[in-house]
Amino acid sequence: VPPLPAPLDYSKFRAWADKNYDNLKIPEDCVQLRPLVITPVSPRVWSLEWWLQFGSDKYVRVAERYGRFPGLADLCRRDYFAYHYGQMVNVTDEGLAGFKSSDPVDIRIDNGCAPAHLHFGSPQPHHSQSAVKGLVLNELDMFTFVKGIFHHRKTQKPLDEVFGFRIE
Amino acid sequence: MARSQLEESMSPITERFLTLADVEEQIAKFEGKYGVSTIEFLKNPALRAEMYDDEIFQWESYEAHREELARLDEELRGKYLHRVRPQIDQSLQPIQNNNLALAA
Repeated sequence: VPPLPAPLDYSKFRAWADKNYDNLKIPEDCVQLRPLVITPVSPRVWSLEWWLQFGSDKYVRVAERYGRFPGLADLCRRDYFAYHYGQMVNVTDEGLAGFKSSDPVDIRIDNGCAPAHLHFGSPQPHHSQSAVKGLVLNELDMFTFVKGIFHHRKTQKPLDEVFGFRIE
Repeated sequence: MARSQLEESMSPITERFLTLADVEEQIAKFEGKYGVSTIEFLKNPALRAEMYDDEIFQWESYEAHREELARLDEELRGKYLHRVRPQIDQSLQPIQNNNLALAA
């Protein structure tokens, strides 16, 4: 997956997303519970969500929000991201997998309550970047994550090998 | 893979456009559902721990979108007033002169 263009704005992001989305090969056992939906508010502010379900038990949830860079109104950055892959244990009113922080997780990389960190195999602990070698958590993008999950499911290769990290 | 080959299994990326009124309506729904203001939600870790992650994300996003839409609204209003102000001043000028003439 080519890196996100910089400096970033919505038109560049959308072109990057279209290219990667069109090149994605969805496995046969995967259903898009919610296709990739972007809510653009301005050239500097947008959010997106994307849900994929595998068979009846596992799912991927992607969520991102971009906003203006503080003090630099003409630049924007990814304010929030969460890439989750794990067991479905709850279902929301909308029929989507409902995730709570205590739920089981195969892998989750997010910056929800702290700088980008990793959950691997269990909700706790949070592995901060200083403990994760081989992968820059804050530079991971949604397509690399989703493709990695596809690859893991197809080959049964361990997730840490797929994403090239080790925890120290 | 071309998009046409994926149509059976994929939908193209879709965009959802929201107005300031739409966003405020969604925020009001969350506030009604949980019985707290958005400010309380943002400051209350105990409440957030009970919520689905997706709801937290959506509520926070609506608030971020509301701020941006309000900012754009304010910018637009400022630009509009900047353009119409000279016209208003010009249109008032003859009236003022007339009033002065009448006073004389």
